[in-house]
Amino acid sequence: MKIPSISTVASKLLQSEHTIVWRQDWSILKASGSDIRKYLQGQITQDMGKLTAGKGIHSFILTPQGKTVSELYILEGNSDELILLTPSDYAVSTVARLRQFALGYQLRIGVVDTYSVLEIQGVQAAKKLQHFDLPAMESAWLTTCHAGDIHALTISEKPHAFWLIGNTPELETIACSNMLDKDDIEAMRILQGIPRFGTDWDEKIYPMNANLIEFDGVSFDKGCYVGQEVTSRMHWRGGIKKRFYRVKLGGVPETLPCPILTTAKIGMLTSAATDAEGVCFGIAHLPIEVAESDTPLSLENSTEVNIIETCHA
Amino acid sequence: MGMEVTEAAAEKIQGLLEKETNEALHLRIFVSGGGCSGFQYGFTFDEEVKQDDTVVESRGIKLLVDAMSIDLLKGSEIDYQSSLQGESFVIRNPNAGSTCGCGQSFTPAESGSGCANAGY
Repeated sequence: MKIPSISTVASKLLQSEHTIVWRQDWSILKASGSDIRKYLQGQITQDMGKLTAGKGIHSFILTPQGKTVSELYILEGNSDELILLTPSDYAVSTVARLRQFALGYQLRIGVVDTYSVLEIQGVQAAKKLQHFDLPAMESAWLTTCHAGDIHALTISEKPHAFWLIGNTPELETIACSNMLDKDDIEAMRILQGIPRFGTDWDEKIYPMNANLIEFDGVSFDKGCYVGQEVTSRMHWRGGIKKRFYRVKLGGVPETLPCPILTTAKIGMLTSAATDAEGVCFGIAHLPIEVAESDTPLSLENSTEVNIIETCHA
Repeated sequence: MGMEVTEAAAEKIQGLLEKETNEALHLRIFVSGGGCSGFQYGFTFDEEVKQDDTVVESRGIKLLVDAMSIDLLKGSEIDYQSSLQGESFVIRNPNAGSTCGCGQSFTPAESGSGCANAGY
């Protein structure tokens, strides 16, 4: 099994210039209507009140039983529209689910096929925004700005990374150099410790056990939304048993996902990647009780697993 | 399949209507998106019977239900209950696959598209 690795070239570009990659794994939805905010407030885990012209929100859509339907980043678009970013594999089901409970609301929600997401990352990434006359962006996570139809979202603080959202031909004007491939971007995600819905976890796991709080994806004082009963109960009644952790590995795993052991299987290594020096890091789903103790962890092939930190935004 | 009002609910609705002193008023029951389970019930008084309304009569009470809500409310029983948490109307809805703890919202057993809005 080949695990993703960040190339030396990509690593140097991140530290000295910038890298560019198409994020085809994310789809763009647009939503509009006079009461779209009120409707979404009853559908998503995060508080729509936190969404402003300069700040996006991270959120999830749940089933009534509290399991995940999809992940969303939401930012303000033009003319009272909202832009919703969702994993491409879940775009169709996300639209269907958002329309499902829209009885009594006048809304438009749909996938915008003509739009793309372009990621610019690295110490000089902010300079590339000038190409579209975008203002200098704050480095704080989920800061947003726009110029015309191009919208920017700060998606990572260290290293500094933006997502540009807009018409594909317009974005293509800067996607000509320092381009990374899928392997690099997947390695960067894993090295930064960002669990991915659809890869590291799926609809079988409660999002509260998948670092929903650490990625600022939930509000506990916003009132009712679909799946709120279970989510609130897990928060207030101590129901969160597991979390994702960024881990350093003593070697490369033979398979993924693979079990993590103490004396018995207690968790899973869900992703792994090597950095430019060949050191292997991963994302592990572990019981909080075990992770907070000093219990030695290993893979089945005796590879050491050392917890670095809880995965967080 | 119609809708039924229990004796307790009929008594309560009649009492509320008498307080309003407007003989043209009827109780309107509707469903809209919201609540912990996706769809929530709503109650309001209305003196206008709209063209696409279904008018249901039970125990001398006229209920108005709009065309979008009727499919989700068919066969329901409207009751009025008192408990330690307070007094409220309760809807026993055979179309509900699951209901939230407070009983004010539900998910249909067969969850189709609740909205025919245009996409992009």
